[in-house]
Amino acid sequence: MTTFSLLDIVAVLPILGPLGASVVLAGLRFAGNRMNEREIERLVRVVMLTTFVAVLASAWLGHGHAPRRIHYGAWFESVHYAFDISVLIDQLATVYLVTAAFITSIVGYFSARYLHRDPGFARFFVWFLAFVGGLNLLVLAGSFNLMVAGWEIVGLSSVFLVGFHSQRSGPARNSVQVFTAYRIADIGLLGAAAVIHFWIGSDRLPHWGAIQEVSAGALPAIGGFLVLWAAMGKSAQGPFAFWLPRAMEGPTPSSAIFYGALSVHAGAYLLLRMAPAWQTLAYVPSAIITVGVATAIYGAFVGRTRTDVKSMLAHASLAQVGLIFAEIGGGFHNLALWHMVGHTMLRTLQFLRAPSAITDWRTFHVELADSGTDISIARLFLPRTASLWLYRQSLGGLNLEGFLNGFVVEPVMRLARYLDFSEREFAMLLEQSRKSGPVSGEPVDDGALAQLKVGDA
Amino acid sequence: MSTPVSEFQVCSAACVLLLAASITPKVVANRARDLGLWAMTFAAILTLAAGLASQATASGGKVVGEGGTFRLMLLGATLLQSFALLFGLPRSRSVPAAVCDILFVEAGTLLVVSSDISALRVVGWIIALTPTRLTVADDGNFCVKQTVPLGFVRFQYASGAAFLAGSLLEALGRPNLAIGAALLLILAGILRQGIPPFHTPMLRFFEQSRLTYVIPFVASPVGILMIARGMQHLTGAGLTNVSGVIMAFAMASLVYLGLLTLAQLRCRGLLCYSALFSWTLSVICLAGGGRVNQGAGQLLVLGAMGTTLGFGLAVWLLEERLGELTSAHAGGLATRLPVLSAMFVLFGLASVGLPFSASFAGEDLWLHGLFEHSSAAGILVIVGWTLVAISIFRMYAKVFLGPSRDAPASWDLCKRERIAFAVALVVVFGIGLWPRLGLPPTLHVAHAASTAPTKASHRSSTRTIALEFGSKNLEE
Repeated sequence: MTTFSLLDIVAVLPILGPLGASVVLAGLRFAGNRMNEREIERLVRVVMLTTFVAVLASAWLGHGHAPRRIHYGAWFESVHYAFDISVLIDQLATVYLVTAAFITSIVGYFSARYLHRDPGFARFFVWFLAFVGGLNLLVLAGSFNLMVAGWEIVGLSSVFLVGFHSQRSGPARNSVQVFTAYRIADIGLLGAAAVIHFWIGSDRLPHWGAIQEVSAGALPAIGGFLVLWAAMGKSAQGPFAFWLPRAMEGPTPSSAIFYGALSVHAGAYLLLRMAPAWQTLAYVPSAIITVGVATAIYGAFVGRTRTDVKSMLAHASLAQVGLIFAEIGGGFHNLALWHMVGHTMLRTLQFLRAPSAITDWRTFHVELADSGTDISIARLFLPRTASLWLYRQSLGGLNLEGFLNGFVVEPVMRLARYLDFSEREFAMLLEQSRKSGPVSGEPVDDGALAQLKVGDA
Repeated sequence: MSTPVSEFQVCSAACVLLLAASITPKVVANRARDLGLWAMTFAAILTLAAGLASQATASGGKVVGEGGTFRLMLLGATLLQSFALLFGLPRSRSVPAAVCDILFVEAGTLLVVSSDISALRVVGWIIALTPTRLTVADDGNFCVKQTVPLGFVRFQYASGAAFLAGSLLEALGRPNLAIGAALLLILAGILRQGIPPFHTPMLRFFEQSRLTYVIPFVASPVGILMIARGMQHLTGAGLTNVSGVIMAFAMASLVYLGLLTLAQLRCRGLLCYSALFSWTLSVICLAGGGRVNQGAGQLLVLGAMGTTLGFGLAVWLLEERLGELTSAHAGGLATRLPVLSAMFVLFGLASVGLPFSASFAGEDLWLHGLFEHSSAAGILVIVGWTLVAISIFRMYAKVFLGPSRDAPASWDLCKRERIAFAVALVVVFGIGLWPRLGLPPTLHVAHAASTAPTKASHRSSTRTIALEFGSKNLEE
C-alpha cells in the first residue's frame, strides 16, 4: 500500500483546493442553487487561507533539501508513454508559488469588496479560483503534460475574465483576440510537449539549476523554439504584444493578477523551467534576447503615448517582461527570477490603485509642488521631425495590429470564406436531380415531393 | 449469457424493443417521451447486463479494442446519449416525431455495436438510416424548411450499398476477397460519418434537417466502427500503405476542416464541422494502427460522442428558444441564458481538448505517438485544433457576449434540460478524469512491462544522457 508523507499531501492542496472550490461554485450555479455574496466570500477566504498556509508549509518542509519530485502515479499510460502526475518542488517553484499565493490572497480579499453587488460576483470567483488552481498546477507540475493542463486552465480563466463585462461589445471582441493569441501560442506548447518527450524520452520537467548536455540537431532546436513561441504568447512578447492592452477590459482585480502580476510572467516561468533544455544551444538564447529587447523597446515607446492608466501600465508590463526575457536569454536566471518577483509586487499595487490614479497623481504633485510637466527624452536626443514621427508611430502602436490584420488574419479569413463558398457550391451541385428536379435549398412543394418519391429516392 | 450468441440475442431484443417503441409515439402522442424513456431504460438494462456478462467471460467483441470493455463503454455511452436527448426534448407537438428519430438511430446503433454477425449489422445500419428515407418521403414533418438534403441522402444510400457489399464479401470468408471487403467497409464508414472527401453534403444535412435526427445520427459512432473493422482487415492482410494514405489524407483535411469552421456564421454550421473534425481525428488514430493509436482512438471516439451530444444539445435548445441564429443577429444572450451559454462553450471547447475532458486524454496520448513519426504532421494537426477552437470561441463571443439584441423572451435551462446536460457531462468528463476506462487494458500491462531504461534504448547515446534530465541531486 502506498503511503504518503505530510509534504506529499500538503503539496497538492494549493492545486486541488482552489480548483475544487471553483468546480463546486460552478456546479451549484448549474444546479440552480446560488450562494449569496457573503457565503462566496467566506468560501474564497477559507480556500485562499488554506492555499497560502499549504504553500508556506510546502516551502518550509522543502527548505534545505535538494529539489524534490513527488509522484502520485500515472493518470493513464500506453506502451512507451505515461501521463505522469507528479509535483516538483525546487527553488524556482517555491519562490514563484509563495509570490503567487501572497498576491492571490490579497487580490481575492480585495475583489470581494471591489465587486460588491456586482451581478457577476459568483462568476468572477469561479474563474478566479480556477486561475489560482491552474497557476499552482502550472508552477508545481513535475511533468510537461501536467504543466500543459495548468497552462490551459490559466489561459481559459484569463480569457473569460477579459469578457467579464459581457454586456459591452469591447470586452467580447477583446476576449476573442486574447483567446486567439493564446491558442496560437499553445501550438508551441503542445508541440514542445510532444517533441521534448520524443527527444528526451520522458515528460519530466528539469529542476532549477540542472545541467543538461544537449545534442546538436534539429529536434532540440525545434523544441527550444516551440517553448519560446509558447512563452511569447503567454507573456505577450514579440508579435503577441497586441493582446495585453486589450486584455485590460476585465475587472481591475483580474487585470492586476493576470496582466500585471502572475499570468503575464507565466511565459518567463516556462523559459526558466525549461532553461536546462535550451541554454547550451546558441541560437535559442539569442532569439530570446532579441524578442525580449524588441518588446521592451516597443512597450516603452507605445506606453508613453497612452492616455489611460491601465493601458500605460500594460505597456510598462510589456517592457519589463521583455527585459526579464533578455535576462533569461543572457543566462542571468537568478536575476530574472527576482526581477519577476519585484515586478509582480509593484505592478499588482499599481493596478489595484489604478481606479484612484487621478487622485493619486494630484496628491503626488501637490505634495511635491510640481507642475507635472514631463521632460521628453526623445526631444533631447532627436530632431523635432524625427521625434514627432516617432510619436505618431507610437501612438498607432507601431502599426503592429495593422500588420497582423493585413498579413495574417485577413488572408486566413478570406481563404476560409472562399473554401466555404466553394463547398456550398459543390453541395448544390451534388443535390441537383438527374431529371432537373428541385435543387435543395428551394421550397419543395407536394408535387415535387411526389416526384422525388418515385424518382431519385 | 455466456456465449456471444446469447449476448447478441439480448441486444437484439433491446433493439426490437426500441423499434417497437419508435413506431408507437404517434399513437400515444402525449406520453411519447415517457414511452421512449422506458424503452431506453429496459434496453439499457438488457444491453449492459449482456455486455457485463460478455466481459466476464472474455467473449466480448473485437469491435475496435481488445476485449469487451470498449464495446461496453460504447453501449453505455450510446444509451446515455439517448437518455440525454430524450430528457432534453422540449414540450412541443413535434415530440412524437423526435422520439421516433432518436429511437430509430439508437436502435440501429445498438445493433451495429453489439452484434458480431454481419447480416445483423447491416440490419442495424439500415434501421439507423430509416429516418433518412423518411426525410425524403415524409410530407415535410422530418424537414425544417420543407427541403430535401438530397446530396446527403444519396451519399447515405451509397454508404448502405458499400456496407452491404463489404459485409457480403466479409461473410464469404475468402482470403482473396478480404481486401475488397475491407476497402468497402472503410468506404461505407467514411460516407456514413462524412469524413473528407465525402463531407460536403453534411452541412446541407445539418442546416436543413431537424436536430432531433441530426444529433443522434452524427453522435453515433457506427461509421467509425466500420472503418476500424476495415483497417483491422487491411493490417491483417499486410496492407499498411493503404492505412497510411488514409491517415495522411485525413490529417491534411483537418486543417481544411478547421478553415471551414472558421467561416461558419451559423451555430449549426459550427456544430457540423466541429463534429466532422472530431470524427476525422478518430479515424486518423485508428488508421495509425498499433496499440497506442488504438487506445487514443478509443478515447477520442468516446469523447466525440459526448461532446457532439453536449454541443448539439446546446445548439438545439438555443434554436428551440430563439430560432435559427446567425452570429450577425445574436448577441448578449449570456445574461439571459447563463447556464446554456456555459454549456455551449464548455462542450464546444471540450471537443478540442479542454483539460480533463475525454478528448484531452485522447489527444495527448495520440500526439505523443504522432510526433515520433513526423513533427510536421503533428504541428499540422495542432493548427487544425487551434482553428476549430478559435471558431468555437468566436461564435460563443458573438452569440452570447456583447450588447443584447432584440430577441424574443427566452428562459434559461429548466431542470429536465439540466439533467440532459449532466448526463453528457458525465460521459465527457467522467472518461476524461478516468481515461483508463476507455483504454484497452493491455496498454497498462505493456507499459508496466516496458521499463524506463529500455524506453530510449533505440535512441542515440546523447539522448540517453538526456533521459536523466537533471536527475542529479534530486530526491524522489
